[in-house]
Amino acid sequence: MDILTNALRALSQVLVVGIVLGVGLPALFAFGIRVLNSNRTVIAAAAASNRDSHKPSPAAIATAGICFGLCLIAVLFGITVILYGRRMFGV
Amino acid sequence: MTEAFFILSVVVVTALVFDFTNGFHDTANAMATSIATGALKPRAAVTLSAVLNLIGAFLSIEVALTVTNKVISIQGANGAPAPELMGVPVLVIIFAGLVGGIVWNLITWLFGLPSSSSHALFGGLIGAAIAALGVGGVKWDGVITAIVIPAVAAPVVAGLVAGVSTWIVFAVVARVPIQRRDAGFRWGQIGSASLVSLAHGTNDAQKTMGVITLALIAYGSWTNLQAIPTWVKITCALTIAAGTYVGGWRVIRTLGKGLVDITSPQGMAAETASAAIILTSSHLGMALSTTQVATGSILGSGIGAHGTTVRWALAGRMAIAWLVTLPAAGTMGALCWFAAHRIGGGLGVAVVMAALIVTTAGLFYRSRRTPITPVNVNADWAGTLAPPETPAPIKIAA
Repeated sequence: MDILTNALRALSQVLVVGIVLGVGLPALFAFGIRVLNSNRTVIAAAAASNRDSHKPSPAAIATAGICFGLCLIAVLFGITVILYGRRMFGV
Repeated sequence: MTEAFFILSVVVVTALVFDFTNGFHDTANAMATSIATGALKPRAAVTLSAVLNLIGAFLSIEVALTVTNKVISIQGANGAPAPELMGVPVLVIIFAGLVGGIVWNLITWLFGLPSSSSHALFGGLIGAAIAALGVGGVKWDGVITAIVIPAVAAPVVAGLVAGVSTWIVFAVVARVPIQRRDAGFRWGQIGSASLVSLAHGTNDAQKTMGVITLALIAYGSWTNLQAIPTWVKITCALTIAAGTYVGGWRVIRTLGKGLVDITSPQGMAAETASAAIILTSSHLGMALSTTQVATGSILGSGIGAHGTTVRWALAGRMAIAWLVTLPAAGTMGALCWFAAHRIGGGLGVAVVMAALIVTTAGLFYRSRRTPITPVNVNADWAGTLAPPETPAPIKIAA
């Protein structure tokens, strides 16, 4: 029984971290793509007559930059875990 | 050349062959989705994956000497072989286990089924240990915690995470024009797939390094339990990278085109879920198989998106292959141990090695009837691994 409870505890932890990172990062990345293309939504593109509207605003670029930057930091963190994980977490 | 040295050499070669099959069997885990969506050209994808596996293998700082300890008892807790098995007995058990793992890897590759290389190796070792030491040679607790529970849990956890992720991603980018959307997500795909490749190189090459070092200790030419010989590290790293570069196109096709007709956002969601789960699980005391996580993630990305066909019949076949992995590789490991043991000594090992070569050649020959190459790996899925007959050049290339 010990085996099962331990396994379930480990699994629930994996699931929680998995959801935070595995769902959070793609969502963040997706949000970056969305703001970058906020002037190009399907409806806007159809109605657009103004050429400038095809360029994302500086604010959009900054927001997207933050989103992608956070994703990049997460990737660097991932590489650190791959290399030094056992030392960091002691398993 | 003494008999023991001959056996040691055969074990080292066999371990490297296993490392190679491990590489090409698992290329799909990281790269199938990027190849299927066109984020990377097939050759570029396997090259990138090979380089990252190489880097990962070189950078791995852990010593995975106790890799067999999870499931069988031929080593002490510190990694040294059990004293009563020192020398040829341990070498023959490892050899038989490796052969069982290799044959199972090749059979599943022929059918294009993703299947965990670690589980195949464990299966082979368990079979060889039962044959050599009896049922008591196996740590059944370990079999349950290291193989059975992870095998059931991996696809469920990965599928859940990737499914939710895909659903949210599609909701967020719903109004972005598809071309712009996919162009963005292809970058995300490459990044997440690279992370999976790097993690794979670190984890899986380590296992073969551990097995070879264990063999060297059993033979008596290495005594340091805290380090791995440099030449072992270099050969294992190069071998897994070479295997990855060759590309298991059959498995890539099944995962990229067969299971789900995947799009870039799904691909990124799936690979990020895989990377997150593989990295967390190996540090939370429940190492999940890369293959099973990757397959579960791809399945989940199909479930999480509206109007995507998920080919459940194919998923079912994979599930069956996973269930069969342990008994099948185990039976082969046991048979190989009996054969090597009955014939005895160097000759016994040589005969089993010859049988492995013949089997490998046979399976490879069989695979040429329906060759899957970088050219046809992305052909539309028509129910089977074999692509539709139409493109003529492929048949000529065969």
